[in-house]
Amino acid sequence: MVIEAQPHRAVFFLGRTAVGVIRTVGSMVLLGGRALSGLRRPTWPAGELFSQAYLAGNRSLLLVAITLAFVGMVLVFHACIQSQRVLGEMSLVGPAFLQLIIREFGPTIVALMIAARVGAGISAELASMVVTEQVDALRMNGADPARYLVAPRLVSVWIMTVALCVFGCAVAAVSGAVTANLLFGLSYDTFISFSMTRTGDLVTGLAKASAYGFYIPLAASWAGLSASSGSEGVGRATTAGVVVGSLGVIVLSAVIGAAVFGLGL
Amino acid sequence: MGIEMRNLTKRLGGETVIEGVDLSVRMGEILFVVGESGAGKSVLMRHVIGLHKPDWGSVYVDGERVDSLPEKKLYTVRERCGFVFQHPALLDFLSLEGNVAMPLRRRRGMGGTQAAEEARLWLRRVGIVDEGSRFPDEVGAGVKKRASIARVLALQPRYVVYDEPTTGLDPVSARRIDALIKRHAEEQDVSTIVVSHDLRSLAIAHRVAFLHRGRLRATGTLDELRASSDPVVRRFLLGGNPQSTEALATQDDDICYSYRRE
Repeated sequence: MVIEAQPHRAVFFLGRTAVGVIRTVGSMVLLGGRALSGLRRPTWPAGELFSQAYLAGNRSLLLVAITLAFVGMVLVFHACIQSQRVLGEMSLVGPAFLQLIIREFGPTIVALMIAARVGAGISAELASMVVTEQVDALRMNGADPARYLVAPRLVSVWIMTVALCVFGCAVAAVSGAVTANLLFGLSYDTFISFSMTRTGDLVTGLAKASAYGFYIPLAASWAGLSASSGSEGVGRATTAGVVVGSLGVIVLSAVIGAAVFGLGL
Repeated sequence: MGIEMRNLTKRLGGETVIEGVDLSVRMGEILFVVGESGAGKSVLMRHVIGLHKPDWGSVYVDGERVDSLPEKKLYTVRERCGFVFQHPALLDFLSLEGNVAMPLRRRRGMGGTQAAEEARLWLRRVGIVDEGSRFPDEVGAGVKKRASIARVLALQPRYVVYDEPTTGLDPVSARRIDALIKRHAEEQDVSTIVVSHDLRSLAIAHRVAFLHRGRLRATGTLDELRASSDPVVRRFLLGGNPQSTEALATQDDDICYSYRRE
């Protein structure tokens, strides 16, 4: 059997994918713009900001704490073994680990957790509002769903993502220090050293946390509001919210990392 | 004046859901749009308030073409034309009173206290004022449906579209909704369109439009439709009569009715 190359199919696939990506990004930008314009004169119900912040932040504390504690433990464990083997000492493990956690791993891993937990919740909630016609009812009542539903989620998740990233970095640092001390006898003073961490690392970490905090609820809201009818539509929207959210976090991490590197920070 | 659809055609998911429909509702009239499930009734009505845009044809409300209006300009159309959704579509995080008060605050510019008073008035009119402080997930389907009707009627629109208002309700609640629709239409002199496949509700209709597979098959009074020689119309209307079950089951041209025998 002869397998013929079909370049036109590949071109068609690439073209369709590109159009899909452009359409998705475009509709997300429009949704974000409308939601941000709603911040000038908030119309959402009183207390909505706090309840969303509680759902996104307080209810994610345990998940973030456990995840970052284990990430810290595993990273430090392997770093100590490698450092001992290659350099014969471990004094640089702590400073290098803290720089890595603040600049890259802390915000990104916390964001992936938030994309999975909070993003899925937002997508599912908005999708079920779409299929039960609550979103149409809002439009009928003169309320723009972007301003009424998306804007408070955007603000609260943004604030809580930044806070959770700081919290997650602290948890990873503590768990890493405890691991290094208990398993390798490294003192806490030696481990907790910011000698390798520069202002640029802090700026990068905060920039990433901010970008993730804005992007995750936006992607989740976009997926939820794009839901088709039926419970199958809610399921698809929830999956899309998590997938688009998580992929976006990885892409943003690379883009911000490259931009910061380009700026020489 | 009134609502008018001209040669309306809509395709969804590659299928033609509405094809060449011409339909109008006159002032003060109760028009029922009936048909089997999937006939395109709800899709047709969502064009009136701009929740769907037609692929072909046009929609006029009070002589103004609305199908090409941008979202912001549709707000004025939606003020004139209330829409009671098939699902009660109440916001979960607001009480029933809050759900009715919300459009009063947003559309009528009422303050919180005034909107709450007005909301209670309309909840009383639909007979559920005692349930006002409860949330949608704490009440039954009939109460939710009446609250969603109160939310629309509180804005006192000139036209009201009800999308399957009695679907999923017990017969007592369903007749209560019918009475509410009729009373409001008569008292407020509003034009009413009711999308339904509940044939028992047709008693309150001034005129009936029968939609079949996206096309308007027949329009007229209930008596005119009953006298129709069109077998599709006759079969549909017979479906509402329990005594006709046997007759329907013997028809061999549509297997979907055969389950009624069992």
